Amino acid sequence: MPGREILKIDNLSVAFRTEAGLRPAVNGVSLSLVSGEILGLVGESGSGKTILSLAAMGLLPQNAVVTSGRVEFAGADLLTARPDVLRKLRGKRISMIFQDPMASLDPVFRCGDQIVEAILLHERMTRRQARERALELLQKVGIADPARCLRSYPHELSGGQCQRVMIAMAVACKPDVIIADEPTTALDVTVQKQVLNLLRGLNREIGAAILLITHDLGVIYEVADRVAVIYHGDLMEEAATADLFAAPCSDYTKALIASMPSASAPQSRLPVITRDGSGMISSAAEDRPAAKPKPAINGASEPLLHIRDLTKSYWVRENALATPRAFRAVDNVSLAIPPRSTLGLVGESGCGKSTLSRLVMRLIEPDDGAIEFDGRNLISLGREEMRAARRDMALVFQNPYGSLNPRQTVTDLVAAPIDIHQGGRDREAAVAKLMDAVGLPRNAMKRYPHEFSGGQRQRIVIARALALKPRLLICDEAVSALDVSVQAQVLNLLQDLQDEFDLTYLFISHDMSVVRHVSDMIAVMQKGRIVEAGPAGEVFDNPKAEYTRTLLSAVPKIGNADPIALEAH
Amino acid sequence: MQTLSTFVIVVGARLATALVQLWVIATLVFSIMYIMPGDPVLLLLGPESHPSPEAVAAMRQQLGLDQPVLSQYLKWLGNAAVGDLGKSLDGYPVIEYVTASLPKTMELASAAILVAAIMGVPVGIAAALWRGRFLDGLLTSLSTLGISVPVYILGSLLILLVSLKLGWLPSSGYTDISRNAFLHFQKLTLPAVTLGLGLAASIARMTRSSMLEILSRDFVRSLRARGMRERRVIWLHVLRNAAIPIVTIVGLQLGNLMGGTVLVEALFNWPGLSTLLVTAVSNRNYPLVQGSIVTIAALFILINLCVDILYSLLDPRIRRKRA
Repeated sequence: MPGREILKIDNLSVAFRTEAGLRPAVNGVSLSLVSGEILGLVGESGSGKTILSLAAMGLLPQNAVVTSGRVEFAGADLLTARPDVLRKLRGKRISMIFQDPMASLDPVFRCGDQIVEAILLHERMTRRQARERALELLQKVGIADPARCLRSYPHELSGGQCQRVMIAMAVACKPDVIIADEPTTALDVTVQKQVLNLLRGLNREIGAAILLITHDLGVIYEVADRVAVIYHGDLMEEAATADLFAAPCSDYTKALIASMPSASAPQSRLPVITRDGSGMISSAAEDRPAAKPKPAINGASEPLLHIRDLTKSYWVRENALATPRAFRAVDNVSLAIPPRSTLGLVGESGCGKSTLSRLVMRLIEPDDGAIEFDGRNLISLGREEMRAARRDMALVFQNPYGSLNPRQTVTDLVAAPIDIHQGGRDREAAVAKLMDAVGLPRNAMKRYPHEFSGGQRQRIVIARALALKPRLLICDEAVSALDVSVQAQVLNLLQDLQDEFDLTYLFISHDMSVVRHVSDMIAVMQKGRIVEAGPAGEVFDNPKAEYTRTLLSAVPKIGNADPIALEAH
Repeated sequence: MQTLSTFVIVVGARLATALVQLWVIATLVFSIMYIMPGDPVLLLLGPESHPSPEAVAAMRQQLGLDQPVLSQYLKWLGNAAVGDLGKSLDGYPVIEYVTASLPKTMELASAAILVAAIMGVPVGIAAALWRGRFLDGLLTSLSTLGISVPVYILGSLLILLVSLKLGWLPSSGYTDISRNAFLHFQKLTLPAVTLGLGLAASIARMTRSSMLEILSRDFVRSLRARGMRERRVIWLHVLRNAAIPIVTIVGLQLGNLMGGTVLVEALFNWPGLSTLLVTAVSNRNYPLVQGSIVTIAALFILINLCVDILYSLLDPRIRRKRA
């Protein structure tokens, strides 16, 4: 690429002050951003990628210290620049887009006022002119009704619209560099695709260089010109995108690419990233005894869970005066899951997936329909009978940080269902066995949740779900909060547990590749309805519903090199 | 315009609730006469004097107590609705007493809130911005002290120090503003500070924690990343967001404030509603007791109504909440 070097990070090291001394977060990373290009920065959580970007903006948290290096921009070192010099660069020549668009806008000001404010911070013009400019910007970022958006508060917009507003502010002063930190992670795949297209288009149009930070290799593959991979604060490798994916040099990159589930080419087991004592990173697919044969999907076996015509409506009002109307969160849904198989339920946020999972457990009451579990209609059960019936099913939620009581030990957490349903009989022994089953050491039993990583916590949650030997496990976005490599471990674990305990899964996710990887059958949900259901291979390879095709085409895929192919049809 | 109409509806609904609350209180106050032990007429006439049955009957008639309870209730309610709170035992309308003392209590309470806000908000902001430093510790301990010291002790100490030792301000009493405005405000200062200091401490602590919470939000980082001056970030964006819980705490603390006026008015000889109520209770002047309680309750409801409206003005998410 013929552009000139515009932002240069030179041998940057950042550490955090902790009680135990300095804990390094970024170790001697050098990177340079060339005008007009999109540089992807990939790494897992805790790899130091966000710290790197904050250092470039002089926005490091107070407990962070720069131990070495320079960040050069326009001939000046940003790390030593005076605050007012930095302030004039921020938003004007370097702007940032953050992960959670809803949280990144001030909730008590209208979007229009916030954009106008952002413009007036750096440009000399009247309020009226700034407002006109804001309107133009919103049109440019593809907001359908820009005038209405200007008047709206952030909570009145969707996540995708909020991110467009953020992008409008970021490009308001035609910056030289845009740092986008996980700009699409909080968004649905179809919205993600639109936002990535927009970024790519703006990159071409105004020529701003973009530093795109993400954990998602697919996103990088589709939009970045060059890629840098960062792991535990170390830069592992840097190469042109096509080269990196064709022939990754570092072991970590290889392992990272291998551990991604693929929507197009499912594997039976995901390789896991391991690091041995000497610090060598490798990708390992540990062998397990061959899985028991799965029951034939279309076979004669009675489904374990059979949902018929399930409907649930909520009453909503457009405004305080309007007559309430029924919003069908789950609309006439029918599904059947044979024993020991996995049904993947996919759809975008707000499509009714989670409502469905709660209906199955009767945590909320359906309006209509039947839920047959092992031949028994759960709807007809009384309160106490339902409580007893719940022993056979368990839920695993998305956020392993929020679903464990921080004041309880692992033993108490995992034994909670045993205490409730069996009066706590043999709880210690039972918990010890569960620890073995989910691959946690037994000495974990006396510890508290905050002592574990996200992946380990999700193992604890799974152990608790298995405590009563349920037959049905409902996983509601169970791996969505986890890094790719940890996600691979948990997905493998779920597979092993299915073989070991003859479990049946209802696996809910927005991630098409993960669903493809785990499911025997797939149901696609849109606006409360099942638009397509069938064996996994068939749904993915030969989708019938238009919506399924849209979803599949929006998934960033490695091996689909041309970014033009991304353009919305 | 949809915003405006929704806002009007929200306020209207809140107003309707306030009216219902007022009705419940009026009913409770009415029943006091019947719930309280002893015959009010005998109490009024003085049981020791062994009044004649004729005197008792005459008194009953004078108070309208000889009529059926329901008609008494409806009459009381009807009169109260148009501002007629009956006649005091000395023959003057209750409303006259109330209108004379209500503004004085409102003035005291408003002055106390002003003192609390002026002292509490900046202290809270300073403590949040210098979190964990010496200043934070000092301010936080002082505010704990402010919450823990009872109003009457604080008031007595202030009188002792500011009036008696230093002689800066008069120790008690009330001067009408039309007669001597300077003296009026001089006499207002000590009671207002006494009453407001506790509230100032609560506001300071709430401001501190609320500021810290907002400062850690993503949008604050985004504002800084946009090149906004720190002053503008803090005073415009952070404070506006932090104000929502602060207004809540002020609203909740107003109950304590009204309770505090009883002691403060007595201590500083301030002729407000509480003084009126206390005198009425000790004189067994039942109509006056009823009248002042209803007025205090109405005042309380009104202040809460204002807090709620302010709340929805501050937070668009509440203003446009879908019912």
